[in-house]
Amino acid sequence: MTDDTLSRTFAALADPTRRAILERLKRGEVSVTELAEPFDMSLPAISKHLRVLERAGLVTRGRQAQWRPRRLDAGPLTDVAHWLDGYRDFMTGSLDRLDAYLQHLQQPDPDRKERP
Amino acid sequence: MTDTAATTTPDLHITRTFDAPRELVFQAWAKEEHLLNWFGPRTFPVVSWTHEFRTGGRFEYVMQGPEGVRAPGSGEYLEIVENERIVTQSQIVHEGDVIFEVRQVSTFEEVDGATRYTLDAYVLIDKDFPGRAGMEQGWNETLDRLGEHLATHA
Repeated sequence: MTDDTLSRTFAALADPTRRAILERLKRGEVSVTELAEPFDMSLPAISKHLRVLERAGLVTRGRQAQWRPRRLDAGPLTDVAHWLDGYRDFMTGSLDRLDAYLQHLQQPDPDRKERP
Repeated sequence: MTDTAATTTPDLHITRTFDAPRELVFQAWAKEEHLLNWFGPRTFPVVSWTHEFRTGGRFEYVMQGPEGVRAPGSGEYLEIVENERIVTQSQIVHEGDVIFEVRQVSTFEEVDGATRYTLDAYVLIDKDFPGRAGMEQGWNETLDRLGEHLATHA
């Protein structure tokens, strides 16, 4: 992946709406109209986000203007195809939360209300 | 214990040191109310957990991800040695088919008042198609980490 592509990819992912669009696309192809609905956003606004994602190589438009995610070749943005990779993230994420939770449990304040 | 775990390399090996007494760390694994507070990554935490915490006991949980996507899992405690070791075998089932099965060996060691936790996991079944849910989990975590990284380095 060239530096330019990488920069475009990072910029594309820096926006929470675009990350949410990508998450939605993972569940299946979708048209712009269907995509716009849950975001309560105008079609031009969604299209603009899709163009940014497309230029970054993260999505592509197929037949009948259905958008879907594209695989990337390198780095932390590689698609996960097997359960094992998701499982690794699952466990490391769990242990991160356990770490914070254990600190919370050991705090002396009995009136603590916040949970990590 | 007769199985391949003693002789094969684990598919996943993680060690962590928790700044907490061993008994507390073990209890965090042993009690339903504790597990609800940490099991599952931030983007896909468990929202329910029930179990019989004993050798041979079963556990069932439901994870919930973005936009309310729910994924159930279940398994059995193959071995429990209090404050030392927990061995589980758990499965994810999709439309009646076991698509992921893993045996986890968790060990808890006291080191200078802290606890060294080790996970050795052996993937027994790992089917491709519903790599989708694995994709979502891994993908969501990856995106979140990336987003945070970008936000703090902006």
